[in-house]
Amino acid sequence: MKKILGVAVSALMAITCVETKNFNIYANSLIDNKIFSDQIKNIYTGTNQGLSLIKNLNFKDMVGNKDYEKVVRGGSLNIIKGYSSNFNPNQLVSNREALATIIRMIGLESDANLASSNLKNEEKTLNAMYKGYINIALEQNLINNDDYLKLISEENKEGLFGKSPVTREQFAVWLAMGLKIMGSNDINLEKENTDIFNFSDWQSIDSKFLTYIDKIVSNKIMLGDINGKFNPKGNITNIQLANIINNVDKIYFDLKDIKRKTGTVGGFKDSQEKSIHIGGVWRNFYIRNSNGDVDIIQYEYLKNPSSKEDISDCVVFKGGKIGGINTLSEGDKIEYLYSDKDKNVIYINVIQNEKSNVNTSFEGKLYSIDVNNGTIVLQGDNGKNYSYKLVSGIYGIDTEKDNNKNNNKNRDKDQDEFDENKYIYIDDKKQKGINIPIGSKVKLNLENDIVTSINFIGQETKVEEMQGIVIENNYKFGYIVFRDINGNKITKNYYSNDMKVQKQEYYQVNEDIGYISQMFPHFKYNPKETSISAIEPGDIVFMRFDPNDNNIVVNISASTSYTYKYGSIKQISRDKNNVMQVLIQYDNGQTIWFDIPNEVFISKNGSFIENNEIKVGDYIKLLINKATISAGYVLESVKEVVVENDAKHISDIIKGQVSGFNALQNEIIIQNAQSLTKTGWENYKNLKQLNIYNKDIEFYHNDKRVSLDYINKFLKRNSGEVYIAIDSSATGQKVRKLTFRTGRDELLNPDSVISADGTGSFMISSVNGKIGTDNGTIVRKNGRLVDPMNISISDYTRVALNGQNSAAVVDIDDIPSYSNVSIARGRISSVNPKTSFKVESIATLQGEEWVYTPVEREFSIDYNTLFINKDGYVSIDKFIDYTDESVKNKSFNIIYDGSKATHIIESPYSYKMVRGDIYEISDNSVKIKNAKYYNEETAKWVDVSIKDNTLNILLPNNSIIIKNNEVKPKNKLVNGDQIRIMTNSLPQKIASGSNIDGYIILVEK
Amino acid sequence: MNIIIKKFMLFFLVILFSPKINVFAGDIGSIGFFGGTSEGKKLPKTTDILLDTSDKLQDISGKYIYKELIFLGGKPEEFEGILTVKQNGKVENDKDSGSYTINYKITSNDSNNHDVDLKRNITFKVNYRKEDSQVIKDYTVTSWSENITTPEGNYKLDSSRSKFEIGIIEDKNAGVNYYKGNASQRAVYTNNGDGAENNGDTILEGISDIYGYDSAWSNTETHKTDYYVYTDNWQMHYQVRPTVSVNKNLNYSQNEPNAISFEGNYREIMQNKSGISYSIFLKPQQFNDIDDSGSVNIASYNNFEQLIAPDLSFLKGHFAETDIKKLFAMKVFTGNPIYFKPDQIITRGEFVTSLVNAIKLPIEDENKNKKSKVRSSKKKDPINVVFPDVLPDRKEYKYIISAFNNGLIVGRNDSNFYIDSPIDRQEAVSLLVRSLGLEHLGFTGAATTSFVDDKDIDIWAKKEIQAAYNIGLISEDENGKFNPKSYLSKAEAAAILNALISYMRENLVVDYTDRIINYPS
Repeated sequence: MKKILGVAVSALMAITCVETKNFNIYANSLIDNKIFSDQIKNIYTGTNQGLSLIKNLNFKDMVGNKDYEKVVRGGSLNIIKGYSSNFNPNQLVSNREALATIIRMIGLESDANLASSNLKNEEKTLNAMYKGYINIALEQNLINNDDYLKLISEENKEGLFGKSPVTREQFAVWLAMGLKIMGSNDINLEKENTDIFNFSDWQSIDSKFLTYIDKIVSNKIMLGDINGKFNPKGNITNIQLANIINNVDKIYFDLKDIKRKTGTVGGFKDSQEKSIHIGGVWRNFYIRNSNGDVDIIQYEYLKNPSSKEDISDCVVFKGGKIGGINTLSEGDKIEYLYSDKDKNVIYINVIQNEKSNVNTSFEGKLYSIDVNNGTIVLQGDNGKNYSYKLVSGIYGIDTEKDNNKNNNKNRDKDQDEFDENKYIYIDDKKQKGINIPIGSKVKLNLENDIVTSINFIGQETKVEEMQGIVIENNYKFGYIVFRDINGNKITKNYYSNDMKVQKQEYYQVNEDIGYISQMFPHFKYNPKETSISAIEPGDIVFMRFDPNDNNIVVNISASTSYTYKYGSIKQISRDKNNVMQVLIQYDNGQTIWFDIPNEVFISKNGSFIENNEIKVGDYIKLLINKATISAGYVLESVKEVVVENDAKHISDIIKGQVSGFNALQNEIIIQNAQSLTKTGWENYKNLKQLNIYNKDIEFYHNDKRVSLDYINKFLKRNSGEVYIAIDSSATGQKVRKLTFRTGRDELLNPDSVISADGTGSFMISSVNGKIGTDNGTIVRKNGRLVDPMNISISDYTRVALNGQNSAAVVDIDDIPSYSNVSIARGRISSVNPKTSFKVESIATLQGEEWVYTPVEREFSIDYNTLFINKDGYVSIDKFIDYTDESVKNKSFNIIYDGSKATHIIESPYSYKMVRGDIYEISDNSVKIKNAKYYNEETAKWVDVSIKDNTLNILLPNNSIIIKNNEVKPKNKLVNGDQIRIMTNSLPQKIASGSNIDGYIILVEK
Repeated sequence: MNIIIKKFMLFFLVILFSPKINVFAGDIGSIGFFGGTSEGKKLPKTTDILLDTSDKLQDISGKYIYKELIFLGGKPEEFEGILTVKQNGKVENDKDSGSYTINYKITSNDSNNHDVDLKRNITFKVNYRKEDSQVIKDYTVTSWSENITTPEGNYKLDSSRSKFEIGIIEDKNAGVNYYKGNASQRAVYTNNGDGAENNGDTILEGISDIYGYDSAWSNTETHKTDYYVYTDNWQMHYQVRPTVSVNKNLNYSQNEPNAISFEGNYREIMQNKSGISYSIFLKPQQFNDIDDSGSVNIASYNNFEQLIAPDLSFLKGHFAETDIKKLFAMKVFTGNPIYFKPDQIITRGEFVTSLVNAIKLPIEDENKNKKSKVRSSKKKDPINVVFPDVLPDRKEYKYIISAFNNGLIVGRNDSNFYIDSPIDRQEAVSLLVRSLGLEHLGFTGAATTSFVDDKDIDIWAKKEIQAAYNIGLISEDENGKFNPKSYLSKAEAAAILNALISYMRENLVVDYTDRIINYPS
């Protein structure tokens, strides 16, 4: 109390014009966690009389007396009074004191004071005060005139009146009359006297008092003694008076509109205000009352500039002592009396001040929830209903949505809306409306019989199931080891033949059969059904056991638990069992070896491919099964491989110098840029912009890996050469690798590798000595960027040297060849439409000659076979041997694969040959240089001309181009291709630039 | 004489959980649904966000450069033009369902090859409904007209026989909103002869998978559409995979002059990448010389903006210098940098505030509820209090409330938030994963992560820690451990926040572009 004053005074010392508010929170370890956050129901402040009451009720002689509380209680209601600092518990109550008590109880104390002060010629003595009471008693007809005179007369004798002890019966009567005056219905004088006759000495009660006393007794206000006697003529001590007044509690409260609640002090918060006019300090005690709501009991201290204090306090009885509101502390269990009308707290009794809460729990079926009253009803196992109060923070009504709908307060009309908006918190999650699990089993956590939280239990389990992740499945010996949901490693057994196993494979996303197949026998195809051998480490399983022995698993439902990983292939090898192994590099640079067993499904571009079609430098997506055997020990196995398309293939290799950077556009600008083509470095451009926004990008200075900032600083416009590998993704080309070299570029002719040591150095026939590579060398193998160690023997490479025997670029591709393509020519003898045809004789092109065999051959055809004539594509349906479209006896060029014809071309017999190097390409023709024609007589190739050795080769619709062992369309010819052209006729004199029809074009190099 | 002062009554309300829509939630379909791609809507600059209201940023109306591949004649013809999108209305924050319309108009521009022309005008009515944090949208066609000209023929859409339907589901998380959808269409074109082989109808059937996401640092949308062309003479099956991604990146620029008050600053570069990758799975015989696959792309021009240059010179040479500089430049860390001691432990309040800034979560403006008079009011305006130790007088208050509203944080066992306690590694990493909404990439079943010190990780955190490992945000240290309970220093917090932002800038983009379009299937 004094501490608060001290704080308040010092705080108010500096009064400013500024309004400030501070919030100090003292609840460090809350018992009631929601005490500050729940909505406050009521605030009760003390009264101005509080302080004086506290002083007046501090009786020295009552300390330690077990009835002190009753005295204080009665005293705080202003009914019981003492004698300055003493109460004199055993002193007999006099008549006037009894009357005064009754008058005070009725509430007419102020009238009595007024009356006493109006007494003429009297000093303000104690006598005068009592005289005032007696006057009022007369007024109220508590006493009649005779009694009044008798009482007054006593005074004259000894100077004191009304001092003789009151009898019990008299007091009972006055009490009853007093209550009647207050309007109590409990004192019903019409009612028959019944209870009074229970006393053995009822007959000694004054008869006119009988009715009144009966009512007092029946309301249990006065009880008589242990012998069954009422003792009407006996006296009352002060302490007994306090007890009697205590018994009037209930009636009295009703009449005075005083209410009583119990609760627990959850915590308190201070607040203070300072302004130019007033300063105030409040201490708010937060009480969790027995309804589950939060009330505040407030102590108020106000001071105005003239230093007048205004304190609102209340009597608190705690630990046998009297105090003010500030003696309350957290955890106190209190009972408090308050006036509902004025919101004043009148009296606080601390029942128990330990910090202990009674925590219990109760389980039952959720029957109903009443959000208006904050109660929950559960149905116990015995069928009985139990009702509990809820803490106000865990239930309520959502009013959020009311903004959009009609704000109709009529509850009945909007009952549905109300029902769907009420909510309750279960397991800390808000459940609203129909989601509240009515009918399910819940557990209530109770603190002092108020529900603080609710847990959902659900229904009783019908089947015992265990869930876990498989660590090991040994189906030969019949046991399974798994890790359950709590992390324990458990082993269970099973009989392989008796097991029912269902497994959801990773590709099996739809399921039509459902659980019904488990409940009743079914015979339809169920893709989930499998055998126990399909369960592998890493699978998530739910297991059911033999009801007689729960170490035996009888039923398993499993699902795979795979993840996708992405990486590029750095190396490929095969182990001794010919199982393919790949070294994968993930995005973060980490590398790891994986086995890819032969049964793993591999696909690319949406269709299946063999595993030997995966090449180093490919980017792949792996479906991995990851089994965590124990903490830190993980087994991974590959389940499926998808190979990325060609988006990350190197589409271009460029050399030049770095001209600059555009950091804002993420571009590097190359000057004197040239691309690597078949004919060398071509397509010169002064400036070329390239995008460098690529997370896989690498920069090198010779063999040293550097950063972009380094290149920007030191290598811009430097006189060396920079070599750049570019990949073209769908979103545009970007740089993949950039190497700066200090030497001079020297581009070699394409050649085969004759030796390679697997570390990156190799030899080709045109260069003496080994050619070395380093980390900066750009090695492109079949379009993919690879490490130099993947250069192997007989690779057909194009090398750009920079520096002594040091390769800057190594471009490896397939050796151009056409030998795998079979070309023939035959005369059709018969056709089985869309199925096959026969030729009566056939000539096959071998090398530079047609070799003729007069043997009939049959070729099969199908919808894939291309039938082409001089106008272009013709439907294979038209390849028939009847009607005027008949092809019988006509000769065609046939491309075949085994016994199947892939192309049937109607073109003239081409046996004359020219050859040359393409230097210019147009839509339907190519120009060649170094042109030669084949002179059949001399069997030699002869230059077309000495000065201008060129020819123009026309490409009609029925020309066939063979490149890299495949039939290719015209647009696949590039400058630099060395081609041999077979045509039907050559002019007599072949001049430069003559037009030659090319019916069969073979790309030789 | 008693001076009676009116009493104050404070009302504390617990906020009801209401997901806020991220201010960057653009609508999907900025590239249309026709197998083409557009340059995409660039991410807004910081200044744009401050000046603009969030409403406009959610609208994809605008004009974009557009490219589409037309296969109706058998050969892929590239078309370049302008896509104009007009959106009337949007998904409203406070409504559970509703509808709006969106119109796509495609016309050619001057750079187009005049042999190929495309005119399309299609309007959809979008009906949407919300369920918790998800939004379901149904698109139905209300009008559709098309005219296509190619060297192989002219095609006019017969809208009475054509159908188009799209359905999208969006899932909103704190830092990223994900969406996925399907489109199904059947377009019947009548042939206007002239160079075309057939004079009957050309029917184009398409079925698409649509994937995309929006976040503060990048947006990506990718479609995978299988098209089937049916004509009287031939039929064809091809797949197009158009994609558009926009993202922001940081680039440091050092100042040249000596006498300048700051050494340099970061710039944020907003770029977009669009392209279409296609594969032809079945081509008719007469087109056997066209390539089976290929791609086209739209060149992009980057925007950029300057970021602030706070004075962090005292950090020069520190291990985490760059991380911290970047985060200050991006305003993830705020306040006077002098008080930023990188080796000190970061508290829960500070970490959550930084995370909210990092993912650019919208913060409630509580300036409306300020300053009530002392004497005049009996009631005070409601203050939202969720945690008893986080009250409006703390500067972290609004960030923590915002994080709570979006499901990022729940407090510790009792309902305090422990705002000034240190955050431990498992809590911090869980927050990162929750802000991405990727918790399910961890696992269910048995609670074991792949770390050696798995038993030290709390049960509730295991799934999120494993998810963070799986997506590459974290990995084991040299001993294979994660050290879940050790505290995080400010430098380490800077490192993992940067890792999160990088993930959102780049890894998410890769997951939705390369990893879809480079895998035809």
